[in-house]
Amino acid sequence: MTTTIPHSGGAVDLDGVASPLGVSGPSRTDPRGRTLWRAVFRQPLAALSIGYLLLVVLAAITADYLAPYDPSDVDLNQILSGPTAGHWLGTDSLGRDVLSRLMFGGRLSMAHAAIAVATFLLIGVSWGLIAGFFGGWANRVFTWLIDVIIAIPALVVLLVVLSVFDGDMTIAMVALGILAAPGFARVVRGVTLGVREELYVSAARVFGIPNRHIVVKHILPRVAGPILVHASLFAGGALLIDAGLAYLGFGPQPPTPTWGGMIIEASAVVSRQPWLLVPPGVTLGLATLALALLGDAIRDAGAERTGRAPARGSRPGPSGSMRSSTASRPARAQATDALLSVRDVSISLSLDGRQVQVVAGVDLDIRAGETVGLVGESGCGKSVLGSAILGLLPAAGKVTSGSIVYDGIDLASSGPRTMQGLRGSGIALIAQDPIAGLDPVYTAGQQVDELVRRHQGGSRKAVRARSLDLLNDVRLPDPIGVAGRYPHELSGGMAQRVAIAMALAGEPSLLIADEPTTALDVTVQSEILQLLRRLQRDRGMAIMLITHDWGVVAEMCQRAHVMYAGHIVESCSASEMFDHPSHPYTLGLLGSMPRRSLPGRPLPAIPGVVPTPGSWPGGCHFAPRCDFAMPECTEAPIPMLDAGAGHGVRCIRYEDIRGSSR
Amino acid sequence: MMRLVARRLIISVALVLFISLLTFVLQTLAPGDVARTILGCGGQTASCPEQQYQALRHELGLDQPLMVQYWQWLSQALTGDLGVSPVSGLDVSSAILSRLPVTASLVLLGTAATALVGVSVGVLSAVRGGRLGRVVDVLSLLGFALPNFWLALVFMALFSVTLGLLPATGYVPIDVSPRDWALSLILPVGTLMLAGMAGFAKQTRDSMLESLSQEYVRFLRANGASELSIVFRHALRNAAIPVVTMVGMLFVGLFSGALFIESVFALPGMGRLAVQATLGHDLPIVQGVVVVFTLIVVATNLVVDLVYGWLNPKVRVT
Amino acid sequence: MTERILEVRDLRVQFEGRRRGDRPVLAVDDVSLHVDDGETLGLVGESGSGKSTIGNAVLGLVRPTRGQVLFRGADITSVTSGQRRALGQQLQVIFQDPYSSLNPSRTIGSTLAEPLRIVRRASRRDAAAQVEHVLAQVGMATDTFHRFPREFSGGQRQRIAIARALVLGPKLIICDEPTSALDLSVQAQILNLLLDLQRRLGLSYLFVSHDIDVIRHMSHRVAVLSKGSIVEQGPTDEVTGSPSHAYTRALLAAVPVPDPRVRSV
Repeated sequence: MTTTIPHSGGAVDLDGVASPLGVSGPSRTDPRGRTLWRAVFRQPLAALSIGYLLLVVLAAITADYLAPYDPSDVDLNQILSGPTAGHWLGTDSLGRDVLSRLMFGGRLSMAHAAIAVATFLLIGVSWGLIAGFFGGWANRVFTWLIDVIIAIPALVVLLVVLSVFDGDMTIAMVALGILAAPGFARVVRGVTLGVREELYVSAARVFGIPNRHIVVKHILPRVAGPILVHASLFAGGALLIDAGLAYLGFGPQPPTPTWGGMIIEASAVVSRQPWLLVPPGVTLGLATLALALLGDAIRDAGAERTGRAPARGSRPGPSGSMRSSTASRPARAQATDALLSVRDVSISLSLDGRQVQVVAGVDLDIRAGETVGLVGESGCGKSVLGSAILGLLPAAGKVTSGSIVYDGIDLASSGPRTMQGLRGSGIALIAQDPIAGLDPVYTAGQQVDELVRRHQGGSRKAVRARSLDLLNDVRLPDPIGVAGRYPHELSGGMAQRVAIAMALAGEPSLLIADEPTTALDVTVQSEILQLLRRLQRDRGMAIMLITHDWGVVAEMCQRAHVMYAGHIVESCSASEMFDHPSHPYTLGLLGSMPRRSLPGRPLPAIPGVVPTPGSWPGGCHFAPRCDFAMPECTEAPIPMLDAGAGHGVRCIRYEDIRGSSR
Repeated sequence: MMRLVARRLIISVALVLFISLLTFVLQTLAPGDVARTILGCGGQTASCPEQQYQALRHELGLDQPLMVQYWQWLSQALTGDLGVSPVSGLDVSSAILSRLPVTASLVLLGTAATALVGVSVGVLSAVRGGRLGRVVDVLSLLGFALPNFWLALVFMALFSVTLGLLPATGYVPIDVSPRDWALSLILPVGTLMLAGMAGFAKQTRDSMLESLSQEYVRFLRANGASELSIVFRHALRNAAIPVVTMVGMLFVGLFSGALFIESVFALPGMGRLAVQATLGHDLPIVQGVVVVFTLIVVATNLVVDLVYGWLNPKVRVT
Repeated sequence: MTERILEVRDLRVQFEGRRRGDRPVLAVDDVSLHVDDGETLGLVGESGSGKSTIGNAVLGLVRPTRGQVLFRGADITSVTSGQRRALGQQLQVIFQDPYSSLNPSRTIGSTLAEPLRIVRRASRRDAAAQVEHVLAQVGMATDTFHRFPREFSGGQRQRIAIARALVLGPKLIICDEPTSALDLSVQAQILNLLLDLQRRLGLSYLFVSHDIDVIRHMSHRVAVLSKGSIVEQGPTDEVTGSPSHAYTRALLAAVPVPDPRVRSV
């Protein structure tokens, strides 16, 4: 109760409803649909909370029959007794039974909270839905009103109401609901706005489905979660405020029992019988606690149900089966002049609480000054491999076998300190989303400065001069102007150039470029690719280019590796890859390009879907989708075979396939 | 940014007018008016001697139209004069001014302590995680669930009544004895801090974790930025944007908390004044407190907006 | 003689600035185009070119500032909700993002049956039969009906979204970047499916994409958009083979060629 009213002014977003506790049950995925409530009940804390709340409500309802004493029965022979067999929770300063008073007291307290919650829901939901769904001037008026009302000090206004209406708690609770509703309406509006923008709502509109139906069937179910969460938390807040007001002397007067009133009675005799503080305080506290926990559980259940559960931290789980291909790996000589040499690397990540292998027995070499492409579709493990080289796997991810040798050091087995020393100055990174890759609160110049200072040091002036040199090197038209801009003032192409300048600050000898142009328009893409090629030529820097785009591979790479389901399935020079693809997956992926097909004709697509990590088939990972598959393909892991002239293929029928491809 | 501040100022003025008008309108809805209260027939049952009542109404200006009354009050209020309460005979402005230092000490210290401890614990648990995070979770839940006046009573029973370490009630102005002033505030401020600290820490931690999971953190780390810089220069700086809003809300929230805490520890502050005035049907005083309170809220929001804009370049430039 | 199914005349769409006082943004500037029966018109442009806005204006999801949209000769620039319901049986859409285009809290069956139940007032059983029919048409298993969107991959969701577009038997489908969020091999499957459906059902497509290769593969005619205006329009071979406008040439030249011997520098 430190804050005025829970959620009267919280800045709360769509799924991240503010809540006092982020504890949640383990996430489970249930293939069948189920109701929100069932998902809530599955969480033990939530079930316990609901149980407690039911108990309190039932106790209040049945107080007439079940309470051991009349709440106003005075027994001056037994005052301040403390818990006894006759009075389980003791007696107060007039010898009245505390348990009975608690049971009767709950009636008023909960009725008051219910009034407040009903008002809160009625106003908040309707207001929020209307403003969110219909937008326009309704929304504009709403925003102004909310800005005004949300700043009202609610509790003090409640005092005015109580003063004017002579302590009428019903009116006070309605007022409380009204005062808290705008903050809540803002949340409802936010969620509604979000859902309204969802494409399935647009699709419903295209069908001419009436607004009423869209609101009831599409919007409300999505808003229901946040509504329940907030109603639950507010109910707790209303209970506390009701008790607080009773403590201050408002509301029902003695001898009528209320929870707040019992606390004030206890405070009068606190020096003689401190125990009396415990029953009302704990009952009230537990009720609020239960409501808060319930709110959390509803939020978690909602997140889980819509498949948008927030990424929960690493959780140790049983190791997934390691179907490693180490046994059959033919020894391939390590290129002696390799700058980076990856040997038999397997990586596992924690997915849905399970440790799952995502990269299996990968070999690859990058020589100084060379551009090597790593091609594959999403989920094949190419980006994970890039992260592993930089030592930036997510918390529960680890390299389970193999070595990553850079400059004579095995990165896979060296500590974080070695890795930290290498990042930026040995190996650097540019990533897919350049704007998200820059810190929004610093200017481009400040961010380049930081890395220059880190890697090269020097006076403030020297650092800035060097930064401007770098921004000039990446061909930004106005380096000084750009240095003064914040990331949100940059276009995607400019931001990617700034990111490249930052990556160059430590003069790395290897640049890992993870889909560096995927988020950019083609015209900007070609400029960035040109820039990368020029920088590489001038600096002799090697590039490991992670991409899904064959065009980018053809433009940039000397060598290419194709990845499928954790394996490198084919490795060779880029020209060989395009001219003589020897793995059926490479063949299929090249064939999927509309450019290599006649317009309007069916593309030679690969049937089926990519298996998810953890459900890879035995033997060749591609066999179930392969037109060339034979029984042998699924019997044992297929090793990388040497197809001559530095061409490696993980396929036993590569000769037939090479023959079939022109 | 200027537009934002201008907009805020307009809203602020509107708000203060709205609140003061609201209290005026509410008065007319009340079953009994000030005149009845003074004559001791405030309840619905008691009947007033009509002539005496009308005379008093006239004397107090209550027989004039509401807007005229409001205009008179407003024009006085703009000069800082909130009038004299006909019920208690107190000068409203000076009554509030004399109570302000108590509440200000309580709330400012409470905010500082809560924010300081909360942010430190929040950052630590974001970086270290693990057990500390869970402790913060549980404590923040308790801080939300336990009524702060109850907590205050428990502390009082423990530290003052049982252990006798600290004064149970009362307030000593700082110019009388700084030491006693501090002693008299330890329990009230401590209660406010304990009730709010963990919740604050949790929100700080959540926004720190949010910042730390951003793409730019990965990008900076990949290119060699130091961990220290990533945590403090980047993550904390970004997390500070929501944290500032939280400090503003905390500050405003503690004024409400003070209503209860001042009553428990018998501190002669604004909150206690408001409660006593409310119980005594002394509307002019309540109205005065509401207006002063609203001004504080409005000023706080303005400061928060300015700091927010200063921290967040996206807002700053526009 | 083929009939003209869609015609857009002098379409202009202006968006208000985000905040009041911001200058309005001209998203689409005097665009005219048409789609014939059984034809695919490709709409290609970079981000911010207004290509998706044109689709949304045809669908009634954004309000044109000026201009006309004609469907089979009838003006549908602004229609009542009743007319929209009738139009929805002829004119449908497939969106880019297969994740947001299906309601996560409803089963595939209830999502696909909704228009049948509300627009056609079909019985529960008839609706279910029709839904199973279209699911089969897009190559999804029958048990898809009782499942939730989260159980499907992006490519499968896109198939389901296509099934939803087909459920009322439309003639024209606006395809708004239908494969841009998909992997290359999945894109090939979806493009094949769309071509196959066009052939079997005689559909017309307004095909919006940023990918000139995809546009070339799918379209009979192409319109190239830049900054809200059409800079070039014509048969696909002509536009992509011998472009007359400098922007089209720049766009074509920028696409990396998947052949290492043809490097642009």
